[in-house]
Amino acid sequence: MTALSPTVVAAIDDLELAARLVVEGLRTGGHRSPFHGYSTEFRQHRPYRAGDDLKYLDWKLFARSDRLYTRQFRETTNLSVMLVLDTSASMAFPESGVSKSRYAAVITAALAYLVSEQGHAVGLMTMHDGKFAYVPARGGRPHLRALLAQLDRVEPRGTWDPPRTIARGAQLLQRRGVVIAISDFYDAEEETRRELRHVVQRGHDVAMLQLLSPAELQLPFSGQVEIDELETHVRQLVDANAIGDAYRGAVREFLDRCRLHALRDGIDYALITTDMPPEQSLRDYLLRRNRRQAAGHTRSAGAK
Amino acid sequence: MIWQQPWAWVGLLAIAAPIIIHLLGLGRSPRHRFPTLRFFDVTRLAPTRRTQLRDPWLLLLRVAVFVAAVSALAQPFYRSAERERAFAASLARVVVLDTSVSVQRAGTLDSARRLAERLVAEADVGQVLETTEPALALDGAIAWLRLQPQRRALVVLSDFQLGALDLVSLRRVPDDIGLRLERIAGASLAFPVVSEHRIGSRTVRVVTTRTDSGATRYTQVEWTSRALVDSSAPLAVRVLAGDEERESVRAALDASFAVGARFVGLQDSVVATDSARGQVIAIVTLGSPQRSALLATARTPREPWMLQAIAALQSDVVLQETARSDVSGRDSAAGMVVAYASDDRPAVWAVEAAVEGRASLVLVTNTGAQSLSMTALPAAARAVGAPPIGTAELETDYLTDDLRTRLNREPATGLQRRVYAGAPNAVEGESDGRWLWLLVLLLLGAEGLFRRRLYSQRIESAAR
Repeated sequence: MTALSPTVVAAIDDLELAARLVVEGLRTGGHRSPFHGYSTEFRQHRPYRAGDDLKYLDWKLFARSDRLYTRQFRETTNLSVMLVLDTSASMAFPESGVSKSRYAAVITAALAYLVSEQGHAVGLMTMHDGKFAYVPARGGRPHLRALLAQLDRVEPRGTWDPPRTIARGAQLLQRRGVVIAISDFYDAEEETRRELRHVVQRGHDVAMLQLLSPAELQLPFSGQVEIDELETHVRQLVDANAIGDAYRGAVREFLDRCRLHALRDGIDYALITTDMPPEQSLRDYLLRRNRRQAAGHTRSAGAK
Repeated sequence: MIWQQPWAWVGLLAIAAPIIIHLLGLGRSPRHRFPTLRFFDVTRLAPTRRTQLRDPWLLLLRVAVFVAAVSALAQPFYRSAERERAFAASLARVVVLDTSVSVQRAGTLDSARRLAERLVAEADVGQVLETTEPALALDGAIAWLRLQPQRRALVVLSDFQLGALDLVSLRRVPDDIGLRLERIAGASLAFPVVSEHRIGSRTVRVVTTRTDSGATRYTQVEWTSRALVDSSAPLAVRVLAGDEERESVRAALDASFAVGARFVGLQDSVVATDSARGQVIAIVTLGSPQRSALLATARTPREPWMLQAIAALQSDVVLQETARSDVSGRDSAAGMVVAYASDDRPAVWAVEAAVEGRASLVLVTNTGAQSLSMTALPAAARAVGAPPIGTAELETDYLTDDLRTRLNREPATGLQRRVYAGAPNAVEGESDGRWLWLLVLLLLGAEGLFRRRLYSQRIESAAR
């Protein structure tokens, strides 16, 4: 099945339908959801193997039997996922075609749909004009519809405060969960990075979906043009020909920095451009996440 | 360097045109909304302000084209030593010849004309301006001299009556123009003199007499308008008189000379002007052999100019006063009475009749040829169409020889200014501006090449 182009998906007014189409595309590809709950209910013992986490050793049983056994648990709790969405004016770019905000809405809706369908809780966190607007993480189809309705009302405007929004989104999760931030991450780069690190340290699984348009990567202007910044409306005349190379170099450096810091801090990172089919973007991200988790398990297994 | 058309420098204002176009071009930069400015290098943004000139060398070339073109239009003329020598060796001269009544009366006009022609022949180029108003002719002479590329000299031949040419007029002559004032003999007018002066649409008539002590006395006696009489057409005054009246008529005509009549002499009993064209006034005396024949065919004047002339004659105070002192003793057969005698009978009356086949205003006298009114009549008739005489003609004083000598000066030898446009004897195109036009062409070529190369670079840059 050919993936739906971003133009087609963005043109669908019904966000739930768009999300379902994207998720259906994922299923057709035979991909499993990488979102798993955290098990807390004891299931069984198995003999200890080198590399197993010592905190799961049943010391009482060792004391009685003088043998090392590792405790195993059953998945009994739902996963909580908080989707933190950038709604600043910079997300309104490009003004013609598929904007970053619309693309982000489709991606967010698809993620919410995917998570909700698996019986997990999903919430939405945004900020408008310095005020938080959120939907708490819950499960169920009515809740999903409420979240999608809230998502549909989101309009990119003004600025946002990513560190506060991410921190507040993480706080809303009752227990360990997943925080997925979807943004271009232009604002407060260092503070945002620090806050994401804090969220990871608090035990949450954190993902950065960095969303950019191809025009932002390439600067497709020529000659002398006047640039009007969307968030601040500061205008500046630039000679696009003269500064094109320097601009593209600066963008590459910024993206490399974001990716390297995310890897270092244990954050899932994916760069998504608005010319990619949303289904493909999501698939790439989920595959990467699966691989990372599998690698983590392998490392754990190797350690045992 | 001499700039022959310095006003052309105003064209430098046109230099603003490429700059304005350039600035307007800057204002048309397309505007794009963009998420962030954080990746634009600040050090590279600074030179792209709206007022920053783009392609300064191209702009400089264009400005240079304008400057060179304007300089060429200003017609530069380089003052080389060779040109200075050529200038010093050549001379342009204007001779202003005073032909006023006083000069004519002195009988020196012909010799003055010969002198003027000789002076002009001595110069490389020259003109003779004959005028009754030398002061007014100076402006034209100066203007003509300004157009000449040679040294310039102005010569005035006049009797230098005070008022005809004064110091104020002479000081208007620029310093670089040489000045030579040559006196020719003049003769003041006989008195009494009747002169007229136009004040707007009105004409003031002045009678000047000389008292027994020799002092002149001016009396304004009246004013009138004579718009219908065509002063531009020659007015002929003919006197039809008998042989026995010959001497008396000559005396009367001498008196009329004072008001500008140009009689050439007596021919039998008829005195004619030098021109038979235009309007004709005939004076028929008592002893004229044609009197009976003319009166037989005469009728009341109906032509407007005749009526106008009759009105003027009726307003002529000298004619009226002299007629009042005469005795007529006769009545008029027809026509209109011009002046009454002391017995309240017509002294002069006017009819319209054909004189030598030409419709004329015929003034018939009832007084003798030696009467006072007969003396005043030719002068009054001539005054009807004569131009007014300047007051200077009444002057008996002249510019002193000492002052005249002090005003004389040689023409300047240094090359001053050369203006060729419109000069009748100018060497067309003799200006160093042609080299500047060549420079304009070269600059335009360079501008074209430079522009083409610049645009090619831009296209390549845009393609990348």
